[in-house]
Amino acid sequence: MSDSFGDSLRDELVTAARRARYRQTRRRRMGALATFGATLLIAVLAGAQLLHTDRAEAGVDIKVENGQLVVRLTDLEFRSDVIRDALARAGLHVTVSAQPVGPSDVGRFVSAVGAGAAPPRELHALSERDGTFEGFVLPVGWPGELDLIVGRPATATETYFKASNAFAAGEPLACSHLLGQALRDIAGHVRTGVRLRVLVVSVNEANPVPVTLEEAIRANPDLQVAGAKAFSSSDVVVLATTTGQLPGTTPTASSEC
Amino acid sequence: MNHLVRSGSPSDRVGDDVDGALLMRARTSPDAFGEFYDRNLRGVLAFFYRRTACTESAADLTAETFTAALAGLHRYRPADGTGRSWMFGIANNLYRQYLRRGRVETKARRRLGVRTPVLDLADLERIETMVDFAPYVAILPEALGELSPIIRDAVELRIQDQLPYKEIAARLGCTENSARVRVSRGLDRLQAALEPS
Repeated sequence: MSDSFGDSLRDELVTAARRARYRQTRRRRMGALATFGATLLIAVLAGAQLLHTDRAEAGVDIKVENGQLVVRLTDLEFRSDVIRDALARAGLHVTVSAQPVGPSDVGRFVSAVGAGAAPPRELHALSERDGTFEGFVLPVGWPGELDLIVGRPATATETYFKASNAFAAGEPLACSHLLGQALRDIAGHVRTGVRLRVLVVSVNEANPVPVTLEEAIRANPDLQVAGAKAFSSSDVVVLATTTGQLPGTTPTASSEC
Repeated sequence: MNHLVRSGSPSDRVGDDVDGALLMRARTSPDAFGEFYDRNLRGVLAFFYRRTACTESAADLTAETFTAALAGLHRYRPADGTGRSWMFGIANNLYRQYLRRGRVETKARRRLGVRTPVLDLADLERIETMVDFAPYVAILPEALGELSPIIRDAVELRIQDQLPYKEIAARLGCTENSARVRVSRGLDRLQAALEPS
């Protein structure tokens, strides 16, 4: 019995493997010396970049320290082409795209994926916060694949690529002082136009589903706000527990109120 | 050749990581990757079909998984685990992305120029027979009582009524992605109920 899908996919994969092998062999013939020379050149150029104070990419800070490229986004830089070009000049040829995020995640990396659908093991994130990071460290001349996604400001109607801390500065519940409040007390404190849902976090509920604030208050008005995630500028899910705290975490609110 | 009924050789000895050895060989030998594929295709397809209950998505995810494995061969280190566990790590990541985004990732296939074969009727039937949902149906009345109503409805519509996700979403008043997540969670719970305690 023939197996159309299985056979065809096998042919595609083995052909792709042969193409990759051919390219690899051809590259090797170009000479290991050229690779070494290129790496050396990259290191020199990257080092020279450090000394160049009038950089066009003011929002991307790149340093070389002990054979490592140290990359940080500054000044809320979120222009993917600017970031990509700056990295390319430092010898790091990666793809960079921008996705909508909440104000607190703008100008931060929200994803880094390598060839194996996971972050490359050589990459070390810098200043991590809620799954986003301000920068990263990679070896100079690192030859791998990397797809970076940087957060850009979402429009009023866009869903965030990554949910943000709704209490952070600029987010829908910033300065609302709802952390630790009982559900029964929070209705009047939510900005007009913000749709608030409640997710009850409990060891007894393995598959919690967000419900409306009214439903949550009817079920248990004493539950307390332990955190909140913003999925857009108008869609917020409050995390509620009996203690006002999430296991193993410390909720944070904006300090700019 | 019938790849969908193939599985790892029963003569494989415990402690011999044949898949890991094939992945290492595949760095220089394309045929070794073909052999690795032959040994694992059925397992990967079943992994995805058991979780998605959708033949097309399972096939799509399988194609992306093997392509991502091919693209990431140079990252595989035997010290990090068996070849099979490494590949299922990729499969698991792609499955989580699928649930999160509501679509199957295509990046690896685009990068390597791998086209996804179209499933014909025989393929569909073959994949559907790989995972027997009969045990799920048998325990449904009892096990469904353990699920929350929102999950229960989604599982019933998918497993009992065999509706497509688009229609399940319409009936439940949610997005297709949300319907997928609910069914997936329900299947996980049913799977747990099927396992001996």
